[in-house]
Amino acid sequence: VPDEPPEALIERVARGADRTAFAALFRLFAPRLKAYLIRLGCDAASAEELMQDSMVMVWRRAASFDRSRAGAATWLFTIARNKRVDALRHERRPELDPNDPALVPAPAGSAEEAIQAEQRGRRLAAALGNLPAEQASLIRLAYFEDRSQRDIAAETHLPLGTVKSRLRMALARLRRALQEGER
Amino acid sequence: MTRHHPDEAQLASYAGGSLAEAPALLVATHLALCPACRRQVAEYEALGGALLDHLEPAELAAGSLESTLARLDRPEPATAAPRRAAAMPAAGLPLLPEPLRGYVGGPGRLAWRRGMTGLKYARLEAAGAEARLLRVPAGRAIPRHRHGGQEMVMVLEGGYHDGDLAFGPGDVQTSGPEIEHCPVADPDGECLCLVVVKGGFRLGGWLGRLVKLLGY
Repeated sequence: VPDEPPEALIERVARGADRTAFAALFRLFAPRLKAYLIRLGCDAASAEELMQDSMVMVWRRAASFDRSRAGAATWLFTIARNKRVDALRHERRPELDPNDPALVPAPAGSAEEAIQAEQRGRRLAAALGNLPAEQASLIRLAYFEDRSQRDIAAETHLPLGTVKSRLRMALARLRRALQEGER
Repeated sequence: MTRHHPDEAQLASYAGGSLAEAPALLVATHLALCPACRRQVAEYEALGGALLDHLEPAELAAGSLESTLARLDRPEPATAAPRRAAAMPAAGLPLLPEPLRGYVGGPGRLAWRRGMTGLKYARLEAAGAEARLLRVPAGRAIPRHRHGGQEMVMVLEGGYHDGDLAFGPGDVQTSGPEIEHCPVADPDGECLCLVVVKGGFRLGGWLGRLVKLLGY
């Protein structure tokens, strides 16, 4: 099914170990996950390996996907992030267990918030798409390449003050987009 | 309700994957107790997902999909399973939230040592910084001290005061090396805390810097 949303593909993998759905997810996300890992400093070979490891985790953990908690891109991002932390630091990333009996639940009435989680990702993605190109590329540099604002300024040949103000504007716009959607 | 939270740079670094294991353990355990911070972290993760959507795709290795498909039915290596503990309190401890419970392990896993003035502490194996559980008897003060680096404390049971500030279960206090303080356990019972000291404080990640500069 060509236009099936990725959330539905993950759910098909969870329900029926559906290899067609998995292959579709792979085509959608594997090249971007690899790009993400390269941006974090992995060479092409280890980015490929970590990407494949992450996609195998997608297969194994599909049943834990919950579109009320996170959209597909966000969920895949967290899987690749954790793989990289485990692999590069030889550390295990301490993770919250959402089913822990000792967990303090969100107060009643915030169930609606949870339903919005998937839309939150979409809204952010849309807001990111609407950012002026120079702001979007700075956010990407800061998030994915773990660069300091000083490094970014040096690389982009922009004054540090300009980098700071553009990042500030970009983040403020993203926040506003989230808040508007929640009203 | 928790009143004192990790600062936003710590939440952001946790979401972005650049916080070292010991402070990440503290932050993740706080998240179990604090719906508001869970929501904040979810927002930073959603930003990661949104940025992922906008990335220029990289070229995959030849046969990438096929070799991934071939791995799907292999059994999962045992080490890949997350560290989880049964929902049973360790001896003499309250029921701790995950992921801390998994680090503490079952009964008898902790080696409690006596510190100064009746304090007891037990180290946890968490890489990157020194993480320990600390028990302070009711009403006892921790002698005035400074830290070599940054210190994060989270209350698990009981409470303490530091000057006018009150800390109860789930509350987090972060003190820099410049701070000299003298926290006092509340008089109504023992205070149990998770303490993470310096070493692995890698708040140098992109988000840490970004958020600090932006003044959130």
